[in-house]
Amino acid sequence: MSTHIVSTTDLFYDYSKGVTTLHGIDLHVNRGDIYGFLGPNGSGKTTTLSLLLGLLKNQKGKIEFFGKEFTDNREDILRKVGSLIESPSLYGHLSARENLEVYREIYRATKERVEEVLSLVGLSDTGSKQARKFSLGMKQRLSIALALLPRPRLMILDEPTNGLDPSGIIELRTLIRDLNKEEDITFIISSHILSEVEKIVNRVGIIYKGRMVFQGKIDDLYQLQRRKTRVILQTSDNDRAMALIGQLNPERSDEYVSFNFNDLQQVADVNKFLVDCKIDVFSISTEKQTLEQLFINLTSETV
Amino acid sequence: MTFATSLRSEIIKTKRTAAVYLMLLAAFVVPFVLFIAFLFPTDDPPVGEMWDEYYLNAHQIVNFVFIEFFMILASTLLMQTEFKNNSWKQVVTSPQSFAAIYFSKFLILQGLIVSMLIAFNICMIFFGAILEAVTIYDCLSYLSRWPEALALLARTYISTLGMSAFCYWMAFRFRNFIVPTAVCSALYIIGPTVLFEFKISFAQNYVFALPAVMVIKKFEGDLLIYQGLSVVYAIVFIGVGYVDFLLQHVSLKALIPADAIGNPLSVVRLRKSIFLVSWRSLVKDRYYTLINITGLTIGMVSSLFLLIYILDELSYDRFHKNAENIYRVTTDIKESNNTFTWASTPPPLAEEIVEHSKNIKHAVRFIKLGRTMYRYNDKEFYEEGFMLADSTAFDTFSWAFIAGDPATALDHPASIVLTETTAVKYFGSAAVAMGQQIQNQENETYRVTGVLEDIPFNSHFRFNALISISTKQAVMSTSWGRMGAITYLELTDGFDIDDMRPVLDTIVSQKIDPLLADRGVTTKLSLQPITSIHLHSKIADEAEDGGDMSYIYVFSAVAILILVIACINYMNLTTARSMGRIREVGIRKVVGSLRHQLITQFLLESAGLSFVAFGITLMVVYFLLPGFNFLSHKSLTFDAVMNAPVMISSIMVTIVVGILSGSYPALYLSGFNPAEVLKGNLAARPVNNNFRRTLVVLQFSISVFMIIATFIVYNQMEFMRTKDLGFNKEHVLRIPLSGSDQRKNFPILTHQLKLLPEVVDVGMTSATPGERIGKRLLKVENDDGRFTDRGVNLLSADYDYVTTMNMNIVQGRNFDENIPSDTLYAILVNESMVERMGWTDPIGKRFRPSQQPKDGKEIEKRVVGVVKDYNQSSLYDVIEPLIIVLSDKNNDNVLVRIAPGDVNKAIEAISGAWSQSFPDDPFEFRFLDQDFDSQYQADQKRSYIFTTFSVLTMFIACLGLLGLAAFTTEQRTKEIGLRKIAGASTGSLLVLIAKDFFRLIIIAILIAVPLTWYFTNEWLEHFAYRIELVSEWPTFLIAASAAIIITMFTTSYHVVKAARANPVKALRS
Repeated sequence: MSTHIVSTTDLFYDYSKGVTTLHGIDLHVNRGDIYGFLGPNGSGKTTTLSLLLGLLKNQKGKIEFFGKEFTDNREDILRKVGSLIESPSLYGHLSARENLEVYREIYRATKERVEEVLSLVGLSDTGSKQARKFSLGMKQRLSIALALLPRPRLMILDEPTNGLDPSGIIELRTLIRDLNKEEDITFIISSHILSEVEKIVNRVGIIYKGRMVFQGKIDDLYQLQRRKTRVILQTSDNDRAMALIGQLNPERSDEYVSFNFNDLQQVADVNKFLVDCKIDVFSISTEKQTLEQLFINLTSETV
Repeated sequence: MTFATSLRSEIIKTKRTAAVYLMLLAAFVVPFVLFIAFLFPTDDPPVGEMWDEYYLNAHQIVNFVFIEFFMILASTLLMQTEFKNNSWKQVVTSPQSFAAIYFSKFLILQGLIVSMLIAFNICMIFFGAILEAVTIYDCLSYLSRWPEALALLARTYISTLGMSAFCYWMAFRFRNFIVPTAVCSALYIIGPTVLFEFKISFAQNYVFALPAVMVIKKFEGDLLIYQGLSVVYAIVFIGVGYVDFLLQHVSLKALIPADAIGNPLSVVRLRKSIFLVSWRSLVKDRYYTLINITGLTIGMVSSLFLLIYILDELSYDRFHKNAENIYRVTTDIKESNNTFTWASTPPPLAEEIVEHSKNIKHAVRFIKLGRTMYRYNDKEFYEEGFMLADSTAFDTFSWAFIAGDPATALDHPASIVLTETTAVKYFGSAAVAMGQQIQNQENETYRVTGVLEDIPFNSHFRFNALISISTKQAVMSTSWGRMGAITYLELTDGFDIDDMRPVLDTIVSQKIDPLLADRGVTTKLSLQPITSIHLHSKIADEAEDGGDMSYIYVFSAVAILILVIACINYMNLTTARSMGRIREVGIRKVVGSLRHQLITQFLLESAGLSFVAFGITLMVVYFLLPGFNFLSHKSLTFDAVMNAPVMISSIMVTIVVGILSGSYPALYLSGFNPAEVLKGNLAARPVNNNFRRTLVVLQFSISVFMIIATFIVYNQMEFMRTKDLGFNKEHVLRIPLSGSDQRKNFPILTHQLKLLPEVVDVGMTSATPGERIGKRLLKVENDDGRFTDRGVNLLSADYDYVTTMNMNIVQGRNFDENIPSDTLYAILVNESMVERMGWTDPIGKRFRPSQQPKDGKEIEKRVVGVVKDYNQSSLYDVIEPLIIVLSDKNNDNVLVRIAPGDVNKAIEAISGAWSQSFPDDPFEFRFLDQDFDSQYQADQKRSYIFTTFSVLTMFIACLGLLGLAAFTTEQRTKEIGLRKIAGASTGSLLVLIAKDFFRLIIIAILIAVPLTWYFTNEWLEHFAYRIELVSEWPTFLIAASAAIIITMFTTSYHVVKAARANPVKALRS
């Protein structure tokens, strides 16, 4: 038995014949992880999460939760999993409490637990207000309350910050971090914006065009990103500068010379060296890779 | 536990949804509308309890419209609660089993339906109470029939089950609002359309029509059946819907868990996998599956057709309410050297017999009227199917009336009751016909007092109209010596048929014997149950084509044989393919499959196929039914299939076929020792071939038997059609005369006809060939000059009859117009007459009437010539002694021989001559050859059926062979490849594979030939003129060759394909 809370092996999926949406996804989430599942829109995040939860029919590959095969242990597994996929799924004609009441018994939760999660997301005082009259943020929070209802060991949140205002986002982050620490809940959080989740996740998986292009610790990702960062120099004589730092494989554009960033000391050394060679350095800056560019780079690297 | 939880969850969700409000609305509308209507009373308020007007009325509207639309909308709305809120994914990802999800929601729908019905009843009571208080209506009085109301409520609910399950499935399937609503509404609308508009008679079985059926009076008797049907529908649709839902979330592959093999005790999984493996193996071997389904379908279609044919044959006359108590009186007549039975009796018998016995409820006479023309305004038709009937006819026989009163319709003289077709022919519609007057060519007028539905085809006699017998009372023969009336008796319940014997004998001895005894004729009256007439009566003058019990046996046998062949195919192919599945069986056994599970698996496969085939069969039968009707001259409707006995027996047969054809493979395959199988020991051994060989031989014996039999039947039919009948039936028109005017003035017509260049000859006769002629008792002169009584067939004809018919005079001469004495004294006899009397010289032999004529003048006729024997009646009967009397009376048939050539022109000319002679009367004619051949129609149509089904039998057998050949070839692909590399030609390879099959076919032929010989010989026995089997040896040869050639083609298809293929490929695989 692995220590993985979730692990998929060689997951494939196509919505229509011949067009494969997922190519051999191997996703591994360890206990205690806050796993950021990242990728641009349409890269297959929701498809993967839907497959995980049995919303879509598993066509090929293996899905295991807590070391058990999903299809055969569906109910047992789902009892320990809270989820929020895409938009909130609430009954508009029911109040917040009633919405939770619908699932209370199914998750074998007590009435106290309902109050507990409601206060946890700050919706205790909505009374009989119908869910359809909630703001998007409230709906999102109610959905999270619903996901929390069973005291899950794993929560799968698909784009949970959708529609939340900045303070809401921060609140959510705090909540996730607290739950992770205090209640030992493992999270899978998908997003297409790295910055949104990078502060809380410890592991990330990056999916692009249906392929897993990166999976590992967030620190590894930073490292990778750093490696992809370029240092941009504006000098008095770009051509000579090019020649002088030739071993760094620089690139020349109209206005500047650039080279791959390795570490800070290297930047200082280059600066010193150029100045010593009587070249004026007007500016040194770094060009950070956007996540999108990183995706593309990762993709081309993989392929 | 989980289910209850899911249910509670669903209940919370459903609160305050549109579905609930809709439920209240649907329950409220009808009572409210009715309430408004009743608030303003009409001038003529109904009294007494208000069941019909108030409660039933409302229920009808609910059952017809409201409950259906409520179900359609409610099921859609229930699902919309999820889809609209995007909450479906939450439901699916919550820890509930799929079954709990699916069924808890379905239960909510059921709850809504029940609530709607209850709320409707509450509204009815509520508004009823108000009406009771403020109007004159006593609306609540219906409550005194509360048990009935409850029953109606329950019935209505049960009848909605099937439809609700369907709507629910649709709502579940399509996640939007429009599609399920549209689909279900469209399907619902079809219901009333087919029920009321097209009147498709099995429309009441339609799932969307069932709620309405509950309140239609017509179906009152069968409500339980329709409720049962609804439940069956519900089970099917819930099942289908659930599987559909399951498959959306779980792939089939997932249903067979990978670790099932590692976990031998997971019996439940194995059960699941049984279905899966069955399905897979069927899909994998598509080719064999197709062959199997095709074979089974053809077999079932054939059997089903034969079944409904047989049932129709057996159903003759059973539609009369008192069928079991109705008997026909027949007369057995025994002459000195001849006996025969007539279906007719003396007319006075009916009245006499009622006086003699208390056991008789009714006695009814029918008397056939001759061909007569009837007219209404300018519409004139000749009618042959009009009969006189006693007024008690409708008390005894239950023909359905469209208009008129059965009790009184024939009470008065000059009353006529028409069948619908006849009524429409004269008056345009049944409704118009009532009370109208119709006139015949003797200017007798009849008033239409009733219109019947057309007489069902499964009646032993049919007619187009009945005229009250009292009309002709005055002229009706009261003679006991004439056999003019067909008499039916309806006996009282619990009668003893033996009690009738003395009564009948008494009447014979008192009334008939005194008249006939001195002529050496004895008679006996017998009773024949009408239900057995069609199949068992051998009487020659039946009104309709008789059936024959022996054909029922033959067809039953054919039906069973075809099914057996189809089953054999299945067994054969499955056992043949067993090699490929031995390992599967081995593995299954090793991981813990019990033998009975394996048997279940194989039986399930065959039963599944069998049911698929049955489904296709129903469709095929539906579409081919008109073709079959054409073939069999029946008018069967799909009703004949869609009724409980046929359906139940068909389903039973389907199950039996499934089990039967799966049984051998199941027992065979499940019996392997897994250890040996897995070691490969068994795979190396050839499978039990003897069993398969036996089956192939059996199959082909049956096929060859049927081929030869078909040929023989065909040859006999051809023989009869082309045999020299002693006259020439080609190019002869038969024009029947009717009415006194035509009978009197025919010389004008014959004269006119003779002038036409297209006409070769014109003759007249009392009975054309093919018509039965009466026997007359005459005193005939022996060779030694003494007279003896002889019953002889007597035909009257004119001078030109013999020449017109191209008959031959073998001795003496024909009638001669130039010899005046011929008019009085001349007769012709046929060769059989000469032979019967043993005359050495027939010319001049004398005939006398057996009784002295009243005027004392005895005319003695003399033979002037001998006509070569010709077949007056059909070839079923031997040629009987016959005399032809020259006469110009009673010759109701004009026979016109036309010159070969343009037949239409000739007919036109003849028609012209007719109009000149009888300008007021329509012209009708028939071709003599068609007329004559129509005698063989019954056999002809049976031969068509037989041919069709024997071809089908052969086809199924070939299908089996094809599959088997494919299999054998597949098995020997490597061998074929090797041989080819070694230089074998395609031909020699073909011989290699095919010779095994040939050996089997030869054995089959050897078995089939003697059997066929025996049975066809039996069949031929009932033809007086028949082909001889000895001279039919080419037929046997051809049939045998055909079987061999077909075998060759069938087997060669695959063999040649394999032999032509690149051997390298075969070897590499």
